[in-house]
Amino acid sequence: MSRHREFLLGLLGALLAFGACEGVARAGVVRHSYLPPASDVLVRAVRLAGDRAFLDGVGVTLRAWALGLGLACLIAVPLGLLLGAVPVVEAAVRAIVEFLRPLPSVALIPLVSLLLGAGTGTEVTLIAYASLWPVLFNTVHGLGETDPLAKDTLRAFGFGRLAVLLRVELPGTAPFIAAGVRISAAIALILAVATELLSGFGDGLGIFIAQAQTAPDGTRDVLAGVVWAGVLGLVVNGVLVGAERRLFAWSHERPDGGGPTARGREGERA
Amino acid sequence: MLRLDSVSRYFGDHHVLDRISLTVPDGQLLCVVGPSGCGKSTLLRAVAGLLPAQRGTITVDGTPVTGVPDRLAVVFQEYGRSLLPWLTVRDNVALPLRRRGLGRAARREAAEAILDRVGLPGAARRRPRELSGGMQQRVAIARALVCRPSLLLMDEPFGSLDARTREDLEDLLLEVHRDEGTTIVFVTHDIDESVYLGDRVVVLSPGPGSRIVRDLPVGLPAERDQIATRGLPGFVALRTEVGRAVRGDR
Repeated sequence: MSRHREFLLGLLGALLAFGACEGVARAGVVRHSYLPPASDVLVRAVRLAGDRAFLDGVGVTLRAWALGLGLACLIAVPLGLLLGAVPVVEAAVRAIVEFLRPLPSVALIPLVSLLLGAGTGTEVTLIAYASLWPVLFNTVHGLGETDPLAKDTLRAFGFGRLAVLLRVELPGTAPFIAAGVRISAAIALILAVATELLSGFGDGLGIFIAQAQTAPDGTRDVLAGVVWAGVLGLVVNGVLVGAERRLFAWSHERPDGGGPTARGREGERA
Repeated sequence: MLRLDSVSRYFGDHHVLDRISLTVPDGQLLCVVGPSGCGKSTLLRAVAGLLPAQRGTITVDGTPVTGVPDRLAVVFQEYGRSLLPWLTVRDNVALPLRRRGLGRAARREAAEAILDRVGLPGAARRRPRELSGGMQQRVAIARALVCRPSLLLMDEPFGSLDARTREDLEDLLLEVHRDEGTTIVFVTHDIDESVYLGDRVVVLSPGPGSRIVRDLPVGLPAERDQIATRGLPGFVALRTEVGRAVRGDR
């Protein structure tokens, strides 16, 4: 399917969903305060773009998102290289990793809030923790996919273990790492909004949604905030996909035809 | 000089090489031929220091091979896997020079010169996967030659190329060998190719436990030609002899 056609079909799906929501609300099937018409929500969401305080809040959320995701990458990539390259270390930490990994990150919000107090520190820590895993696992997995023949070739030219890691394994793993970062970017956004929602302190998109909940007739504002969260996720994903296509064009012309795929279903549990 | 002294190799219980002894004088182009799975590649990897020989010794210029020997280069059959797809052709070729302490400009210059030499002027800025198989293997050969190796190991380098490309690359190799005087160990399962290229042909027996069953000098004129040489009575006789040895006939 061409990308143009794909885009048009996606647009069609979105319009149909929009129309259904609008229709249900306008037909009076449910109360307005329960489900406002989609057009009302959309208009409110667009108006929010001119709301200084709201935009500052979104800025706070995005800053925590970027800090947390960056921190996760700084930890996960070197750790993944270590685990992937040194089997002894991998075996030693496997049990810890398998214990920590299935813990739902959202469940850690009260604990971390208790430990670090209410503030950006808690938010960034939780985001970093949750988005660590896809990057880590993709790095380890990508290392395992490195062609042994490419490694042998460099070794035969006299390159040492570390040089082979940096010149063959790391660049070869980069598309896998990037796919992991893309998955993590969505998880980080979920955690950013969720942490704000649950802790209810400071500014941010989550705070906006939390406060709208308590206002009379606040459903429209809650939904408008959700629309913003969704659009942010969409934009971030689009930017990352575009960057991957540009940077790793070589990996989409692999002789075996398949590019790296993101592993795991991390998004479902956060 | 490359010297193998009673080299044996096992993978678990599987006996691959059985007491291989061989001396390759400097500048010789030695072809190692044998049926598939006879341990030719294992032999080559042992010489490259990529697999330790479990019994016996390998020396290059008198130094025992424990790690990868100095001034060694390899060309594998699978060019698509051994070239780095994210680097340009030029950077792939220049890569071995990083260990020679050359600056970036000097590396690029050397890479472009050697690309000219293998008949790929103008491919420097492209990426390996934009090129045909034959061109990619030329890149791999250029990369192997760029640091002027004293020992060049080639593992069925032309095995996956079409006949015409293969002939062109065989002649390129002969030309390089004549000009540079590099010692070359060339592994192939193609009997004609071994006789056409080699100064000497060594035949391995089928595994398990491959041994050297024939060691034949190739007494053909140094100047070879794809059509004329292959028609020479000497070529035909030698091809027959190597063929029999590979099949295990006495």
